[in-house]
Amino acid sequence: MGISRVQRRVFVKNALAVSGGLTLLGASGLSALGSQATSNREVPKAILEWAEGRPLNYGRVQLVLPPLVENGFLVRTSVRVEGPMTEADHVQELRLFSEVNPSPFIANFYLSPQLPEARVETRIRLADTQAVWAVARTSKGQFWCSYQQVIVTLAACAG
Amino acid sequence: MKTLLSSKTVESRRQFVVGAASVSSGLAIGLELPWGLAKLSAAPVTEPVLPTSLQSSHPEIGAWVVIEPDDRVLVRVVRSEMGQGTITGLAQLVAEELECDWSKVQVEYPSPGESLRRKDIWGSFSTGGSRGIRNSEDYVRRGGAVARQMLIQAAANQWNVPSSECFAAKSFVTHRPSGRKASFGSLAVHAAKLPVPDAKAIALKDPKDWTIIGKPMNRLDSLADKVTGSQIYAIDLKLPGMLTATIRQCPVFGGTVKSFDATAVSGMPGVKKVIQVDNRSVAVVADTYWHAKKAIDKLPVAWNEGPHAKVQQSDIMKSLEEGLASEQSFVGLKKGDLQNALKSSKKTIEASYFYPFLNHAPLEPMNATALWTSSSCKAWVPTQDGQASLAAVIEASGLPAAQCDVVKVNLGGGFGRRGAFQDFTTQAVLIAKQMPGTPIKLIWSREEDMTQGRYHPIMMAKMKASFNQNKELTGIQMRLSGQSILAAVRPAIVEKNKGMDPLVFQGVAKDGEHAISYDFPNVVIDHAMRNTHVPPGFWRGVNVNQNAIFMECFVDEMAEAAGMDPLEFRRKYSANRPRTLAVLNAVAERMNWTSKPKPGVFRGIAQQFSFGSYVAAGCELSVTDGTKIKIHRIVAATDPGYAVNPAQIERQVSGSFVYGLSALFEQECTVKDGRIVQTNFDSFGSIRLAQMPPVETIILQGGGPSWGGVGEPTIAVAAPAVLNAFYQATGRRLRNVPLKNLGVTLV
Repeated sequence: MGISRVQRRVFVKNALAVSGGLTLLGASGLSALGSQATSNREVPKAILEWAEGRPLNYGRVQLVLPPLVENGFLVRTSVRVEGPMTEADHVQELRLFSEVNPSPFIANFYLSPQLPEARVETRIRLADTQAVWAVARTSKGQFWCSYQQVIVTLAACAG
Repeated sequence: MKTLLSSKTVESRRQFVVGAASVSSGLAIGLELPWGLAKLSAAPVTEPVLPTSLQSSHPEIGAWVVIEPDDRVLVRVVRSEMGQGTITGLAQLVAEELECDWSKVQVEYPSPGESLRRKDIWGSFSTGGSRGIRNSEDYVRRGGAVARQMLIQAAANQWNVPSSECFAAKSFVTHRPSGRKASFGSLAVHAAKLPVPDAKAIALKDPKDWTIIGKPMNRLDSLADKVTGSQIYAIDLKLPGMLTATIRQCPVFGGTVKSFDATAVSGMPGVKKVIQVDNRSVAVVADTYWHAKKAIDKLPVAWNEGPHAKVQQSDIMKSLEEGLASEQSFVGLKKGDLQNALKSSKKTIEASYFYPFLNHAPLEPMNATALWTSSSCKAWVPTQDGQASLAAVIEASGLPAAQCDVVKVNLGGGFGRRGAFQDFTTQAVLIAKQMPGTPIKLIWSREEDMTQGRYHPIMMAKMKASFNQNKELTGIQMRLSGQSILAAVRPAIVEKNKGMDPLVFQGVAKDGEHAISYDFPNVVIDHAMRNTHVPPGFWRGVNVNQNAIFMECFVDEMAEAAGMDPLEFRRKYSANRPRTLAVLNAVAERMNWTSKPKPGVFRGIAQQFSFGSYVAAGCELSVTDGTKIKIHRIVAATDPGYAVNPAQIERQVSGSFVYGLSALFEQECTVKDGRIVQTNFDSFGSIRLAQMPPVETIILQGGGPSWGGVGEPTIAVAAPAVLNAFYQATGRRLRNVPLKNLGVTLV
């Protein structure tokens, strides 16, 4: 899985999805991709604020949501973070962020190293079509993230 | 690779079936024709058909256009055709920019699954809110323009000339200096290989240069099939080996299945399986609908009716009445100082109005067909929103999205029931999941359809207005009390608005596409939300229907109190709204408002801005015995900004009056013991051919940056125009609908 570090300039590129990995790149990395780039996605401000300038890594987090939902009222969501769950190195906190909900904060989970794996399942509410972000913070202070695009269909006659 | 479907809606019915036959499993769909129409009853086509976009011989030029070598133009349409004519209008928009020969245009539905795999390339499939044309006009025109540019580029490349020297017209590209010409069909394969230009960078044609948009083109769907009854709706669909299911859901909303005795019916003719579908419904699967229906009627089911089993209509009415005077409310519009205006007024008037629950009652009851295997799920759905159907299939099937797809099949009416609500799709998949490999068509009985709807919300209003010593209006209060649709259906929107449902103010909103079209002094319009256990839904025209009655009838009451002619009063308070004035004036002029009508004939007028369109209606009627109304004439003016197909708009407007007048005179759903009382058309009527007045439609085109809708806006003005004329005839204000409850009938 291609992983590279970013400082807070911060766009996510889809281009490397072909090879099975998604990569988060800094502005300088964009030009390196050249015409391979297919789309940019800006990291939501709420995530940057949480990370407080520390680097965000794209990878390790597996976020699963249906790509299309009839109604954003209850959307099944599961997040799994690969990697060790030991006293010395474990996922300490897992947060879900929304790009367009009235509040960007969807959920916080605090994980203990006694868990066999860093994995949560829940249902979330989405106001509209958007990408949902999952960000994990490890006990070593690293941030790992992933996002998933979800189309929320329109209500029949409502805007 | 999984193949995808495309059903070609404009071709003959058999070809439609060919499209539908291209299932990934290679399954063929045989069609049993209802009345032995020999020429159409040829053997079902069995060879799977690749979707157009995956066949190199069917060049896709941009996302919206496919051009066949024989010059046929296939325009992609993702909105659903359900009689409103959207496929024709949308194709006109694409064809205009494409510069193709209109006679060569056909339409195809891409599947929602294909759209998902191509990253939502065709945008929203949702067909509601009168949005078909107005929300996609820009990007579908750009889709046509992109294809035109690619065809021109292909010709320029072949001739080795600059593309700027070439132009497209009537399905040919011409090199201006040399006069050389090439047909779209001959250029298509080459054009399809070119890079797709940036749609946003292309300048669209000036409306004054339009040659296809704005013309009354004939519909692209087959009217003949509808007239002869040979059109295949979803309920008519047949697949080889298919079984038919029918369902019973707990009659009380919120109740669940306690137990049922499958053995009591499992031996009945044709019965294959009795299934609990979810916690609130059971289904019988049989070889035919008749057998399934006979069995489910006999099936002993015990229900946990839940907390609402004792709810009566009178409880709901009481709760709404209480809301009319409640301290707590959500304010939708506030202007000036109403309290002060009321305090210092010389005279006040008050009136309370009521609007009932309504069912969509499409002629074709809810149904869907599904085929589930452990590796794929496909559903054939009469849907107003292919994406919502697909989302329901993904959720219910338990399979990854990539293994699911939906085929859109003709709807026998939608009216808002079949968009955001996909309960029938979910049920069909859940049933099919219990019978892997067997296609299951779920058909709801009429009774289920009537009692398990998503009802037009129930609403009351208290209107109050104050006047000074010169009889001038000084303030107006409108208190709505009743059910919120969004609180039940899209709670996230309500949450975003701090508990308020903004949609409840449709037609009297402070701004937007449903903004109030009067400048009254000192206004408060608010809503006491009184939700019921009856599930609400978007019923064609939605909340504009009742708000137009409340406001437009009360405007007549205010005009009387002000000693003014109803039309003059409206003009006074919409003096700064030229497009509102234009529709009012158009109606008044056509009716010759200032002249005296024939003896015994009386006039009423109403106007409304909703779904981005300005509409007004006038009515001429006479009344005998104080209760029997004969409507002689309806004049309806509508200004959607741009009229893509004026003939279709006329038909839509006429049809909307059938809908509006049916609701006004005949329709109401009521609650007894937690259930809906009305179970069929005997108690939930519709006006008949002989009652239907002639409708004269006037189309205005106010232009402007945003386009308005057509399908819904004029429904709302039907009722107030009639009610206002009735008052002129009888001196009696009718403030509760339907009128049948007041003994008033349409003859």
